[in-house]
Amino acid sequence: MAKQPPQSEKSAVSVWEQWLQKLNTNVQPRYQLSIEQNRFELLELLTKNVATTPHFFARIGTILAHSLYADAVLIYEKSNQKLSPLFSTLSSKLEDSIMSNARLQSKLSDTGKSGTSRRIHHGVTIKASEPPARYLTQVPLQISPSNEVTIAIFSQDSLLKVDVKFLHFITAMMRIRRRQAQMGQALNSETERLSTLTHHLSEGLMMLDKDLKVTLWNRPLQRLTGFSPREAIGKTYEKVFYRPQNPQWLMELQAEYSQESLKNVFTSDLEIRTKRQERRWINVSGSFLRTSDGTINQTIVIIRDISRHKELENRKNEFISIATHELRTPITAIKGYLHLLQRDTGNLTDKQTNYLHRAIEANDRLVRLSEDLLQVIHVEENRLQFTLRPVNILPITRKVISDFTPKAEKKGLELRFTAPEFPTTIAADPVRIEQVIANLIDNAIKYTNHGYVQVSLSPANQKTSEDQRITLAIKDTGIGINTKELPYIFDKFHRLHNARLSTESGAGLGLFIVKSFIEKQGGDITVKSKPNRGSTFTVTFGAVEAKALGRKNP
Amino acid sequence: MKQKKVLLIEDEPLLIDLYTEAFEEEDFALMVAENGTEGLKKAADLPNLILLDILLPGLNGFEVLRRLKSNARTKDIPVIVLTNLGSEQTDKDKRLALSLGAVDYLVKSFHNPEEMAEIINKRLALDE
Repeated sequence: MAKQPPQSEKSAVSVWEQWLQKLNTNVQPRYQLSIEQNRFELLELLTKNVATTPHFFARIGTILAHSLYADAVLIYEKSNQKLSPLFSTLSSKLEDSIMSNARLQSKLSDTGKSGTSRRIHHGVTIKASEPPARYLTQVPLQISPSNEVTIAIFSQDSLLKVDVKFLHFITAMMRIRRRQAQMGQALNSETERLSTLTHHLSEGLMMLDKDLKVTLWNRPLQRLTGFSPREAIGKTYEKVFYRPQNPQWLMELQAEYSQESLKNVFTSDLEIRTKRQERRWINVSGSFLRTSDGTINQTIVIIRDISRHKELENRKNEFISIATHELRTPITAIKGYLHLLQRDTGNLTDKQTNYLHRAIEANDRLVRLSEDLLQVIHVEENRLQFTLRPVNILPITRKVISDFTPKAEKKGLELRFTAPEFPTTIAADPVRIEQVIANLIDNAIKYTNHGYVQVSLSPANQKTSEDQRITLAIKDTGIGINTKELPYIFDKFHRLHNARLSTESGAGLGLFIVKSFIEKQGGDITVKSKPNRGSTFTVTFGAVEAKALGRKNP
Repeated sequence: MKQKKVLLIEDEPLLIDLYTEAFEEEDFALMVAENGTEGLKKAADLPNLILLDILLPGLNGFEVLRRLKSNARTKDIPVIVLTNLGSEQTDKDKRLALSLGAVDYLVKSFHNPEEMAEIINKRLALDE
C-alpha cells in the first residue's frame, strides 16, 4: 500500500494551492510604484521609526511585498512554540488556514532553531503536490528580546541574491534602529529618575560650574530662597545666596580648600537673605570636583534650612545668658560677704576658717563656670572679635609662667621654661593668646600631682627655614588621658574620666574654648597622651603673613 | 582734706547692701542711686567717681554714661562701668563702654569688695 501523506499535510497542500490561486488579487498595487521606489520608501520608514506595533508591521509588510518579486508576505510572532500572525497580505481565511497547518507551522517554526537566528532562511522549498515547487523565505527580526517576530515571504521562485541582500540590510537596520529606540527610552527614564530625585529631595541641591554659576537648582531651593530654577540658573551663587557681610563666602571656602588638594568636602552654617530680603540660616555642605590637574571645575552643594534650629539655639543661648546673669548677682553677693567674713577670722575657730575657705573656693568655681558658659555662647555666636597682629609670644609666655609658678610650687611641681634663641613673633590676638596659654598651663598643673610641667617654644618645622610658624608645647607628667577619650577632649562639656576622679574642678568647657580661640587665630592644637605618663599639648600658631595682619575675624 | 564721694548707680539691693557695708571703713563716702534717672540727678553733686551698673531699669547704663559725658558739668567725672551681664571678654560691651568715655569696665563677680575698694582708691588717687 502506498504511503499516504498525513492528513494534515494533505490539507496544507490544498490550502497552499488555494492560496496561490488568490495571490495576485491579495497584493494590492500601491500607486503603481516601482520596486525601487518601494524600497526607498521602506528605508525612509525605517530611518524614522522602528516599533513593534501592529500598525508598524502592517506598513513594513505592505511595502515589503511590493519591494520584492514576492507573492505574499506574512509577519508572525512565535512565543512558547505558538505562532500568531501579526500581519499578512493574505486573506484572513487563508492566514487562519496557514497558521493552523501543522506542516507549514513546523516550517515557520524553523527559524531560530539553528541557533543562528539572524540568518535568513532562504529557499526552503514548500513541497506542494509535486510540481509546483514554491519558496518560503523566512526573515527573523531581532527587534525585541521578548518576542520572536519573523517575516515570511512566499514566492514562486527562489529570491534573487540581490533581494536577499536587501532583506539582510533591512533587518540589520531594523535591529539597529530598535536598539537605538530602546536606549533612548532607557536614557529618558534615567533622566526622569534623576529629575525626580533632584526636585523631590527634602534638601536643596545646587550645582555650580567653574565660574561658580548655577547649573542646577532644585525646587526645595525655590522654597528656601524664593528664586525659581529659571531665575537661578546661570546666575553666580552670591546673587542667589546673598550675604551682605560676606558675599564671597563660597570663593573663600574654595580658596581655603584649594590649599589642601585632598580636602574636597566642606560644611558650613551661613545666614543668607532670600529674594524678599528675609533672613534665613542655612547649612551648606558639598564637594568640589576637580579636573586631573587639581583645579576645581564643579561644585555640588546641599543646602538645608536651619533657621528653626538656629532660632532654638539662639533662644537656648539667650536663656543661658540670662540665667547666668541672674546667677551672677547672688554669686557676687556671696563672694563679697564671704570676703568680709574672712577679714575678721579672729573670731572663728580653725575649723570654721577652713569651712570659710572651702566656701570661697566653691564660689570662685561658680564665677569661673558662669564666665566659661558665657564664653562658649560668645564663641558659638561668633561674638568675640579677634584682631590678629604681630605679637611676640615670648614675654606673654613668660608672664603666664610667672603667674602660675606659685600654684605649681604649692603642688610641689616644677614649672620649667627655657627661652628659645630665635624670633618668636606670631600672628595673634594678644589677649586671647594669653588666655589660651594660661588655660593650658592651668590644666597641666591641675592634672599633674608629681613631676614637672615643661613649656617650650620651637619652630613648627625644623627642616625648612621658610616655614615661619612656631609651636608651643606644654608637657606634663600628670595623670594623662585615656586613648578612648583623646578624640573627644576638645568637645564642649567633655570632662575626662580621669578628671572626674581627680579632686580638681571644671565644667569641661576649657579645652573647647581653647581650641576655638586657637582656630580663630589661624592656629591648630594637637594632643598626645598616655594614662599615668602625662600629656603634651602642642599649639601651632599661625605664621605672620601680610594678609594675616589687621585682619578681623568676625 | 575734704572727704571724697563715690556714687554707686546700682539697682540690685543685694549688691547695694554689700558695697555699702564693705566700703563703710573706707576713706571715701558712698552715695547710692537705684536707677539711671536718680543717678543723673545725684551726679549733679559732682562725686569724685561714679560706679555705673549697665543693666538698670528704665535708662540703661550706656544711656546714663552717654548723658553724663554729654553734660559739661559731669563730663569730667571718671566712670567705672560695672557689669554682670556678659563675659569679661565680650569686647562689644567693653568697647562700647570705653568708647563712651568710661575709664574701666569690671565684671562684678570677678572682684571681691577689697579688690573693688583698691581699684576705687587707685582711681581716686589719680586725680589728686
